[in-house]
Amino acid sequence: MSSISSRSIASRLSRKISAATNAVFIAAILCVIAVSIATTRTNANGYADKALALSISEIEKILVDVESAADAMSWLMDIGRSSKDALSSITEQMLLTDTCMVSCALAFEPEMVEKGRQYYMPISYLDQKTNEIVTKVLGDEDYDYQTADWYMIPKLTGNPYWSEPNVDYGGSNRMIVSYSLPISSESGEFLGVLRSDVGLEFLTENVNKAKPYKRSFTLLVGRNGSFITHVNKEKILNETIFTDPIAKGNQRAISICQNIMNGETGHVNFKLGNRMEYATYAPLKNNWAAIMICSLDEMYKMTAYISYILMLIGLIGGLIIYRICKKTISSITMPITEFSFSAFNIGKGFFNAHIPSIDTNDEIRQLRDSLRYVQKTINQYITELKQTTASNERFESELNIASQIQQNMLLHKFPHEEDCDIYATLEPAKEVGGDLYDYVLKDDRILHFAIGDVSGKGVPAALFMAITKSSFRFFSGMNLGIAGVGTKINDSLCEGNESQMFVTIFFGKIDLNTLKMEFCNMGHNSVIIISPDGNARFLKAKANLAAALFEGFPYQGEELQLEKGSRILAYTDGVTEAEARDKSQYGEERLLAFASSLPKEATSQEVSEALLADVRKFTDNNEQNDDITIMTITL
Amino acid sequence: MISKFMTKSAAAILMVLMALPCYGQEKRTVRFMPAWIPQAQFAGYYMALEKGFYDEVNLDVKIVNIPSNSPKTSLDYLADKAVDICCSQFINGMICKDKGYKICCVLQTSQNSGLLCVTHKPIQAITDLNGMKVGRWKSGYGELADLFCMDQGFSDVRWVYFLHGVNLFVSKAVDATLCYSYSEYLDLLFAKGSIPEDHIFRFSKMGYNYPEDGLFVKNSFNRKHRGRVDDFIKATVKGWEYARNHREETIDVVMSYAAAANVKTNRVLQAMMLDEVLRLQENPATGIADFAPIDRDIFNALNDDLLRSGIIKEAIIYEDINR
Repeated sequence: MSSISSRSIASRLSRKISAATNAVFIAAILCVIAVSIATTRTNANGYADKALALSISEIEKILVDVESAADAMSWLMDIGRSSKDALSSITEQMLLTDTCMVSCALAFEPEMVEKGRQYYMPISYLDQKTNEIVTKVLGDEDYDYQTADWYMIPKLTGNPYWSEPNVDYGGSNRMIVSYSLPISSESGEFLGVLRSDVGLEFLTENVNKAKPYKRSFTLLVGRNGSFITHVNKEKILNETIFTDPIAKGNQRAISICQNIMNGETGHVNFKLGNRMEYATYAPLKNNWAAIMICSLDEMYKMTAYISYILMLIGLIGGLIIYRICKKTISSITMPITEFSFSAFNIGKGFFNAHIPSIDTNDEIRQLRDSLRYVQKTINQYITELKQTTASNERFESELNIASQIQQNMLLHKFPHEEDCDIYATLEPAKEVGGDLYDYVLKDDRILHFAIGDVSGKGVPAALFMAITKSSFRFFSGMNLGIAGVGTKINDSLCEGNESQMFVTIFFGKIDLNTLKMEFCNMGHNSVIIISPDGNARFLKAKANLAAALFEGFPYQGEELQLEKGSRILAYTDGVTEAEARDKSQYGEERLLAFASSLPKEATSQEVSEALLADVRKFTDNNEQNDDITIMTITL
Repeated sequence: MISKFMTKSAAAILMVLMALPCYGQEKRTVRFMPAWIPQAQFAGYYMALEKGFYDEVNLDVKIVNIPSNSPKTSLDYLADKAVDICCSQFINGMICKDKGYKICCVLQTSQNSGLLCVTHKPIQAITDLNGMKVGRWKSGYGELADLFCMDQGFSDVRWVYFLHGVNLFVSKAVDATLCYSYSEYLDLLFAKGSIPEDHIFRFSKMGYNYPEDGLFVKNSFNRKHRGRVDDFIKATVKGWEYARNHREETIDVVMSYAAAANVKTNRVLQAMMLDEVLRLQENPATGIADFAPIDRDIFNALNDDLLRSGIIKEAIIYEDINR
């Protein structure tokens, strides 16, 4: 039952409707998700750009503060070099002026402070433990600041320089970036470098103030690709922006990083570990680069929620639509199911099976009406069929009786005497036939015999045959002569023959003592005379009309002297016209050949049965079209 | 009976102990200084120490790192007897020898020159280098460049001396910079992502493929502690062979030495450095690392070059510097 349910119209229609609806749902959901993703991406770009701009602004504010402080104090370097104490107070003052700085140094060229002194570099820094300003002088062969990047680059370029991140060994021992301002005297002589240091920790704090998303973070990258700030502190000073891409041979990542280092602005998706991340990058004024990293998961969190909810709605909606469709269609198609049961019951013979009523005025009602009409028609047909069947049964019964009567009318006892051996057989094509045979043996020496074939078949032919037989019996007993018997039979049959039936008859009279045979052929097939030596021939007889055609027709008789041992083989056209399956007929030639091949000692019964078997063999049990009658008289 | 058994047992134990090379001997101390801060350039020494190859030859090796800001080379520390054995470039050894350092090279660990010159612009012709402002190390190591410039007749190369690193070049304070293929070149690669081949000038391909790193000792130390030096060489070669065959483990050890010395680096860079250093150890003729002393013909050519350029004042005898 469940399998039927799953194949039901309701299920199939519901599935198809649900599938179509779900397809529309899914398409709509995908559109919404696509639009949502695009919108989120646009918004995220905006958020990230703003946040990055804010971060850059925060950092640049610090850098500008440091640069401004250094610029403001730079003129003191030339003036103050006459007094070492003054120089130290300059670095201390700068630290006090700018809270962004962790240390400040004045690095002089050889002999700029003191004649013969190669190195002189007063530095002040904020001691991390005591939180007090410490000032000391650095510079000797082991601390050759004059070959350090932060010193050489501004010296060589003549421009201020923000250094790469480094550890201020000998000074604050902190991780710093330094602003190196080249200082020259009024005469243009290079005096040295004013170095202002900012702690990386401070930059890290400020660069991450603006976060578009909770897990977002911003990196600062120096000109040599090294990380100035990074959420993973292990990477600072140890790795550059190219370390991972080179390690993985990721040319696309290398290219993107080069774009970043070339001061380009942009956005990019990239893989970090197993997660997809989104990066926005932009340059700073001092040629550093800032990169804001946002987690794509976090960016698209809301989009993901919306997508999940939409998909859930779609799923539940699909199920609801399926259920509603199935229920509605089931209610519509339920009568069809009931009709199918009704039709099934009608088919099983319950012709009055209940057909449900329908309140609606639609196709289902038309179907119900059609089914009821069919039911009514079948019932009528069945009633008529019953009547017809009863009638047929009655007719068949009567026909059987008629057949029996006809069979009873025929003689079934034949003399098997040495001088008179008779045998006849009649195989009707239907229940009753129109053929006839008869004989009358008067005083055991005079034999009257007849064989005939009534036109048509069935009951009328049988009745006509009965009349013919009675006429033969009646008139052959009268001393009318063979032609007179024929005339009388014809006249009696013509009388009241409204149905215009006729009959062919061959009848004769044999004197068993003399073996003289008188005969009259009333339009019947020629009989075969088989001489005692076995030679067979068709008996040539005068052409008389069949009986019952013309009243008063003068029939003529003939005579034939037979010999002892002669055999008369009479038959109806059912023998010669018997058809094989190829429509060929048994024919007179085959019949004559058969008659010629008969053994002398064969009895009349054996001859008759052998001929019938030969005909049967020829027709190969094909349907019998006509009555077959065979009569054999052996003298 | 008991006395006989004990005598036999004692004799057996004594024989076994005598068979052990170190037993009963106090470990001989060797103070070894690499040419630079801890990095994969010296991986063989670290592996010899870590895998106990020095212990096997009864040496107690102490690796003394050179201070990163020091203007002095490892040969200076050797001359000062601050260390017993040091690693330095062969040319530096010859220069020091010329200055009067009583030193000799006892093992040649590098058979090729890794010296490069990297420029901002493509090098169309060698003459492009003339007139450039080129960065080089204050502590030396740029003598091949001097030779090259002299041979080419470049008089307008403006040398800018720095302590170390590549920031001068990255910030474009110089037009070009000298660097080593296993060291600063990698720093540059990690600073820029890629370096086009036509921005690189390789001295090794210009007829200056002179061997670099080798082990140096003072002559007096060599005479006095010949066995100690021999054992150090044997264990060091074994250490380098181990490093060649156990790359990842070696990088782990290098990273631990770098971390201990607070050297800022990363595993990727050290791996690339190790690969390059091992490549430079391969004999250019055979392609196999053989740690053979410098070829006499190559030495003579180098001697001539250094004399011709005035880097050294007197020719150095092969046997005087190669033990």
